[in-house]
Order: sequence, then C-alpha cells, then structure tokens
Amino acid sequence: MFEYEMTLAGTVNTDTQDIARGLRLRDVDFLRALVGQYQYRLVRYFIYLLGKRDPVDDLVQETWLRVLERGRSYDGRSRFEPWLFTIARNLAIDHMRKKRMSSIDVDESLEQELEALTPVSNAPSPFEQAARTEDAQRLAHSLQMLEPIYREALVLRFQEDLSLQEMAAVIGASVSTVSSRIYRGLAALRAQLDGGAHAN
Amino acid sequence: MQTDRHQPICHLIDKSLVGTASLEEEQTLREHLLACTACNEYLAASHRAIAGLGGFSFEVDPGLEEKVLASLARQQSDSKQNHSMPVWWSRLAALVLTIAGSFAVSRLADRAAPVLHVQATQIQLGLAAFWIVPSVCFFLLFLVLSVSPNKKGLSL
Repeated sequence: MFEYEMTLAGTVNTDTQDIARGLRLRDVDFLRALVGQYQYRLVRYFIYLLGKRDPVDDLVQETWLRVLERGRSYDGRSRFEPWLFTIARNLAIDHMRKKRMSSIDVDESLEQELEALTPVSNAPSPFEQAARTEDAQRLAHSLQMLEPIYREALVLRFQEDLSLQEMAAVIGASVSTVSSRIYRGLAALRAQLDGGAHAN
Repeated sequence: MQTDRHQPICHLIDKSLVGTASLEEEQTLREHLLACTACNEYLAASHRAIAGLGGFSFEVDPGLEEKVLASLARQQSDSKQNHSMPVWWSRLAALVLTIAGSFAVSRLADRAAPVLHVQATQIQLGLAAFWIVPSVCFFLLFLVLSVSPNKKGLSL
C-alpha cells in the first residue's frame, strides 16, 4: 500500500470530447491514463459512500469494466466525473443490495439502502487511517458516524467540486435535497470541530 | 449563535458555501459579517470543516491499477472473441455452401437436367451464378473481415 500520487498516474486531456472519443475508440494509452487519473478519486468516493475499505478495490475494478462496456454512451457533452460517479454509485448500491439481499424489501429505494448502511466494525475506520492533519483526525469520527448520504454529498461537493445539478444527476435527487444533505453534513463536521457550539 | 437573529445568517452562510445564495443574499451576508463576530466564527468553522476534508489521504493498493488494466484487457479480449464468433460461423457456412454447390454441379446437374427439361450446362451455370460464386464471395469477405486489424483495440 502506498499513498497515491496523482502526478505519477499520467495525465489525460480532460476535454470531455477527447474523453468521449477515447472511450469510443477504446484507445489503449488513453484508457491507461484515464484509469490512473481517476483511480484515487474513485477510491475516495467509494470510501465516503461505504464508510469501509473492504469492497472498494473490487468496486473500482467493476467501475472501470462498466466504463469500458458503456463508454460509447458517454457523449462528451457534460463533464466526465458525474457520469463516472453515477456508474460507481450504482455499483456500490448493487453491492450493498447483494449483501443485504435476504433482508431487503423489494420496494426499498436506493436511498434507503444507503441510509441503512451503518458502521459495524471496531477497527479504525478508513477515515481515521487516512487522516493526515489534526482537523482531519477530529473529523474522522464524525465522518464515520455520519450517514453515507451526507458523506457522499460532502465529498462530491467539496472534494470533487461537482455542481449541485451534477450532484443531483449522480444521486438521482432534487437540487434542494442535495443542498440539504450538504448542510447537514457540514453541520455535523462543524459541530465536531467546534465542540457543538454552532451546530444546527 | 442559536438565536433568532443569527440563525438566518447561518443559513445564508451555508447557502453561500454550497453555492445556492443569490447575489442579494451574498450582499446581505457580507454586510452582516462586517459587524458580527459570532457569524464570522460560524463561517470560519465552516471553512475549517471544509478544509478538513482535504486532510485525508487514502491509500491505494499499488497493484490495483494493474489489476484494473488486466481486467479491462480481459474484457476486451472476451468481447473480441464473442464478436468474432459469428464471423467464424459465417465463414464456415459460406465454405460449406461452396462445397455443396460444387458437389451439386459435378454430380446432380446431369441427373436433374432431363427431369427439369433443360440442358445440364444451364443448370451448372445457374448453380455457379446463384450459388457457388456468391458463396465464394461471402467466404472471401468473411475472411477479409476476420483478419483486418483493429488498430485502436485495447490490448493492455
């Protein structure tokens, strides 16, 4: 294991049309660079979404397979990240659904699946393991305890820099729902850093 | 901070951070922040929380990228095989039809001519024109299709 350095991963021309063309042609060098460039971000997204590390590598692999399989459906008219994270999210939900198959109500929505995901292990959380600053160490516990839907909103907005509209497309929810998830996520983090003095 | 006076401003701060505040709301917020320590603290705490998210560095298995590339190559290979199967079957069918046509010309034309009240040569020409030549053409076409290189294909 090592700390991923994006500079080693090669660079990809992030112009969306170039990405669409590369995916359509299944260009070798392009795909290699694309995997390198987005690998860390996919890992981070899955960790935020799932709150655990175990299934992440498999899901990352599955995501890229799905990207290759469905690459032609990306037309390059919008940013690549929302398209990629939508695939990743669906796979994560499929994964959770399979794990909980025996107890799932067939009408249960995807959102309920995410809401139902709660941390179960006493081992250090992936957030505790990844915290590199004092504030991050303080936030790690809050993040682990936060419901996945709020963690997801935080990472997509403040780490991936997705717009609210892009987030709404990824999550499959309204912009107002996305906004309120970010508010709640932020409130939880603020409360942790500020001793709860300013928590909503 | 939880007073009625500050609560709307805190909400505005949230909206501003998320990117949903209007220009008017941004202006109201700026004016309020000029004179309100409590709300400035709230804003600072919010900035700190957001910045804190950047303090995580998740480890990535160094072998993951190679695994991903290997599975992509595998999928590409499987996909190519599946894609080439119909070509192989078509080529085989064309070959069988060519052989069957040739057999029909050599063996059956003489026998069929009296029954059909035509000359054997006419049957042979008909078979050659409508059976053997198209079969040979399809065979050659499929042969060319199956050996033409896919220059952009994934072979990681």
